[in-house]
Amino acid sequence: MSQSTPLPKALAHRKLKALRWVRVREWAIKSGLLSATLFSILITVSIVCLLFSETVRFFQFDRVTVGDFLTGTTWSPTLGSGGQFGIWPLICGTMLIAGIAMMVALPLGLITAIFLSEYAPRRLRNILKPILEILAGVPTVVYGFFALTFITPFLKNTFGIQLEYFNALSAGIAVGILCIPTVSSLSEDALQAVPRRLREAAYGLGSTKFDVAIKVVVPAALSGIISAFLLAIARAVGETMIVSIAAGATPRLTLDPRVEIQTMTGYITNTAKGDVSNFGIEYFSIYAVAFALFIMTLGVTLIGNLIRLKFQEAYE
Amino acid sequence: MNARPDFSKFEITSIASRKRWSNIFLAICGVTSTFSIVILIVLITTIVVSALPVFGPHSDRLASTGRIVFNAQSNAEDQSSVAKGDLVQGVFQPESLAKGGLGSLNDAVFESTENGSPFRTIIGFYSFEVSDSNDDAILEMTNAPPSQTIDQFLKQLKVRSSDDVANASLVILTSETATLKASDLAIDDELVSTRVIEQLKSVSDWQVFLLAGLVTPDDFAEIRFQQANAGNLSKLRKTRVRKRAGQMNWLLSVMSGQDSQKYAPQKLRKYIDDQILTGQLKVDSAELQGLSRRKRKGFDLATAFDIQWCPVPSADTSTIDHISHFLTAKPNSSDPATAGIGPALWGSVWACTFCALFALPLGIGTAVFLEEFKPTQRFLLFLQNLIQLNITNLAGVPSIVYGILGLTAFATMFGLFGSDKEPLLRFGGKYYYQYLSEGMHPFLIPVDDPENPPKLVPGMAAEDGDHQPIKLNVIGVDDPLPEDPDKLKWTIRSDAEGGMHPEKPWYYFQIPFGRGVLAAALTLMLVILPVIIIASQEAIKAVPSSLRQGAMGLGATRWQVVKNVTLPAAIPGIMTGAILSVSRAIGEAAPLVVLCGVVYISRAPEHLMDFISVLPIQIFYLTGQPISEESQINFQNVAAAASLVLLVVLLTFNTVAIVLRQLTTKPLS
Repeated sequence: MSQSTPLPKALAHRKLKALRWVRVREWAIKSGLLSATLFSILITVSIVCLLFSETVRFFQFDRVTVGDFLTGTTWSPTLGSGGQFGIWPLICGTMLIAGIAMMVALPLGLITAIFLSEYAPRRLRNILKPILEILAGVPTVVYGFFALTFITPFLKNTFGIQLEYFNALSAGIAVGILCIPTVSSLSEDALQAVPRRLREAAYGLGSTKFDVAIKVVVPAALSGIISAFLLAIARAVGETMIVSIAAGATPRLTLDPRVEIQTMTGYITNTAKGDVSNFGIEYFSIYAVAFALFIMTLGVTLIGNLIRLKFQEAYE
Repeated sequence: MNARPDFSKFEITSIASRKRWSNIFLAICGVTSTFSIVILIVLITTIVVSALPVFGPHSDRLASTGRIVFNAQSNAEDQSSVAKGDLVQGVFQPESLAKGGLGSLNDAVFESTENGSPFRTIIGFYSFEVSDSNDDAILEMTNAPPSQTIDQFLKQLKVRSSDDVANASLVILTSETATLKASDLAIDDELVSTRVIEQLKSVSDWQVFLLAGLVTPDDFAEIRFQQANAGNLSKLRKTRVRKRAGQMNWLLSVMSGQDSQKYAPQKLRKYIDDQILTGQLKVDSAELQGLSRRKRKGFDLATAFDIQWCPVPSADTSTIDHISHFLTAKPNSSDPATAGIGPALWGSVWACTFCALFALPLGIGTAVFLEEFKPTQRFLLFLQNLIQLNITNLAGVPSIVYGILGLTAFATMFGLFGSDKEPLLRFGGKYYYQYLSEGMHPFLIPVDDPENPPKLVPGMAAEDGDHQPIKLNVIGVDDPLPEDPDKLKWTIRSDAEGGMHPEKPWYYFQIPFGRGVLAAALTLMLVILPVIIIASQEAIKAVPSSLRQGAMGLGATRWQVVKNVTLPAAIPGIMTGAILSVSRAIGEAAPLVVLCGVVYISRAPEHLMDFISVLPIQIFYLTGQPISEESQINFQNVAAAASLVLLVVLLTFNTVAIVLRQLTTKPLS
């Protein structure tokens, strides 16, 4: 009886396999994929463990104490110069760069996002978005080179600002340019996620496009925009090559953007690019600085991502 | 936090004023949004403009190479054209100096010396060897105060030695007359003999070359010049040279006293052209020991004197020649006009290929698991969300932190498996000890254990530089040397000391990985893994669930759904994300600066553990070089040209990705 019944056409070419073999295969594949997934956890755990343990080794040197490290205002790690490890000059440099970058990236990125989301005709959008993506894809060394050879001379010659050869201002501006795509694309996602009905209600009350964009859409997307800002700040804090190339290598506790400074990332590259194999106090100091950097960026990123997830839920 | 609009608070203003504001804002928006286009255009223009001299038809990059000419008394027996004791003139090109001393001396041209040309001459030629401790060789000059005199300078020149590293030769050049004898240059406790210092004290206008011939195959020596304070000593550069198996790296560096502008390294050629030709200087001989010690054939140990630089104009070359030269040539730390990016380009290809090989399966697998194998239990779901948050945060970790992780986890493996130089496990390498025979010919003795030098006994297996077996003649410590030159050629005293010389094929492998290609690729993988995961997740999410449900309805298992339905539908999106993230890996410099250091690499990698330099690191190195106002091509121009190459590659990648996405988004949505 069953032999004579033809299989449905859709199943004609289906291979029937032993259920047990299929189960084993499913299990094997699933565990393979699971271990790939767990690898990302492993990365986080090893970063934290590594940075923590090596930082502890750093503090075991006689010349450093945790208190000095966290409160000191002089960073002069080389042997000849007394070897003082107070991280504030580096944090100050990092903050200065991030601050300048945000002054560039936030307004430009946000306005670009509003334009793309609310105003731009489809055709213009199709041109602008890839350009922003390309801007995001330009390697940071190239931005560093650009800051050194174009932005600094440009600021000097056009605005007459007295800048040192290496300075925080042009490095910060370059980092800001780098962050524009981050801000604009994440903010635009947030703006787009605002439900249509809010806009339509505002139009129904006689609002202009401007009213809708500024008074309705932006406030409604505020947490998404804030999360975009935070993620951009994290990116600016962690940015390495631009500051290594264009911001110099002199740790200073200053907010003057015209002079040479050093950031945390800049210190790490500057120390590591030569010779880190000699396991001295300088070598371990890069772990301590990296740990501080990691905590700072992780904190900002984490808050940004949590706000973003919350925001996504709000309109789902 | 999201403020729902309170429509009751809307002000009622005149329509005209509201429209005006709206229009003003639109104008601001438009101007701001075009800003990114303007920046991109300015960026590309800047780079192209400063890259042009490197490729341009007016460039003199290939037209003005020079030669270093030296007179020498030959000790060579196997040079058919010259007999032992003849005066010969040796020539080697500066490019070959950068390429490797072995080749350069093989290429040496020997000619008669009767020309009396008014070349710039070198008054002292100082060479020394170091062969002790385990440290890297560092020739170190500490901060020089402005009132630096030559003797203070020389006293501060210290040598820290490494595993039987190096021959380094200090060439002291001056345009004033001074006299030195070879014996003045003997090594004494202070490394530089007091007689040299006495001689040079009277000289106000001096210049020091450093010719470093590094001989230990796997070690590297570092020649480090600390930044001079100001004034007298010009911008000194720090250069690190790694020695490769079977080849010798030569480094030509220039330091100078007095007028730093005049002596800036890349001005050497011009300076020589303009000023030196007038100097008639007296020269005594000095041993050229450092130059010929480890070469395989040809010019042997000789007494060299009259070491001179003479520029050689060559025929005009086309733009295509310039481009191909730039893409294939080795980096050159002294002459931007002949510098290229060949090794770095190959390094990028190696690192990014292996990075993609590791990162793609891992990233796509993770994305598939997170999207397609969602658990149903509450706790597991919570774990999954945690993993998801973790991945999102990993994407925000600064890449330099990954560099530090890669350095510790891959390159040194937490120090658990021995050091880079003495790894716990190595596979595939062949090891030799290299000796210099009494007839001044180098030869190799194969060994099994690279840590233990072989004991020299008569009749043991030995090879010459071309791996041809030779008959070794081992004599005792006090035995007389054989008269017959053929026999002398391969005669060695039983107490001779050799240097380790590994030869590593493409499959060479070691644990820990060392600061090589594999460690670099794995580190880049860490950087781009979160990006790939997130992009692949987006692509998989975009597949309509009706497709999945249809397959499920036909009785497909989860994996069958993934394999036959989800992945084929999502693969264009995944590929877009993959291409974008690999292009990020190509442009990434920070983690590799930490991992590999900024070092001079003169050839493409040959195996997975081989030292590597990538394009972004090369650019980073070049931007840090000093600028000279006079010369037509600076290292900055070379950096711009390298950036241009990098940008072209990345723009190609980005365009492919964007086009791929534009083409494939339509059918599914």
